[in-house]
Amino acid sequence: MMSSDPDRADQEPRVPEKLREAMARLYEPLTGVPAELDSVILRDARGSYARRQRWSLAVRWAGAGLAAAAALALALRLYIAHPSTLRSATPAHRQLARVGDVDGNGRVDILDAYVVARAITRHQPLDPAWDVNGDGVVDRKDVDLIARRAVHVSEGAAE
Amino acid sequence: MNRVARMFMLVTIVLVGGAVESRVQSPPTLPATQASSVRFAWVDAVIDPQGQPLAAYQFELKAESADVTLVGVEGGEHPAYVEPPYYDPKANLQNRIVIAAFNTGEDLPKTRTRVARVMVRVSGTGQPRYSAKLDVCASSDAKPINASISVMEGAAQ
Repeated sequence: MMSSDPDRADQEPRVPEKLREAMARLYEPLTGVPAELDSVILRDARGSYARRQRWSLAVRWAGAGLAAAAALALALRLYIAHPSTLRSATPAHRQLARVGDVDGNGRVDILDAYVVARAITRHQPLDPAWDVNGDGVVDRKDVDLIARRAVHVSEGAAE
Repeated sequence: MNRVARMFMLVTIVLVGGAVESRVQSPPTLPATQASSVRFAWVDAVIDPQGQPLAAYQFELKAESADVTLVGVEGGEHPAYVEPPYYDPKANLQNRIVIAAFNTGEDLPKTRTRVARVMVRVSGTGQPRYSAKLDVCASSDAKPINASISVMEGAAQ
């Protein structure tokens, strides 16, 4: 239940006129950004954007450089561990190796396997072309593969 | 508890008894014609390197005049060739089988020696005829040597 009391309205504290105007000025909406302030903000934003662009570019180049260095290091490591991996052989040489005709007599027989096995056993220099299975090493697996090809008579691959 | 234990023992005895019984059952007998027409045999391959050290050999073996199936290939009698040689397990003896081996050691046979034993299954009543051709025979310097090969069928089962 509401009741109007004229005596109580008179008791409310009165806000000074100056304070009221100051408060009104403080909260009045901005009417516009000064041109100087606008240009300063724009310059600052452009500078910040340019810095960010430069940083991003630097990060990209650094990443690419690191990847290249890692690839080079891996290649060097492979070359040191398995020198025959990266050594180049002539196409004809590779073809012979793929087939297993080590002595080049035009057919694969047990003598091809024997020649490779003897070189391995006697620690003689190994021809990279003898890497018949292509795993980067000339070893007993290549000997076995050549021998299996020598005796292969059924349908299908010898491996 | 005692009852459970007795039940467990009973079940165990029944199971073990069943297993033993299934083992001692005689194998199913083949019809007389089938049983008599299949036999197992072996074929010995003997190489004579004629005084030269036999470092590597490769020969072809063929069977004719009977249905012969390859069962396996064993090594020879000399320590250098006691391991099973290389061969194609899927080879068909009616066509040909290639058998080969080498040894890089110093102790090599220089005289007639059995280099491989080919295990075969012969079907039918015909007597197979075997023939062998020596393709490669080399000394330890990988040079060809004059050698001869002969094959003979071992005792049949």
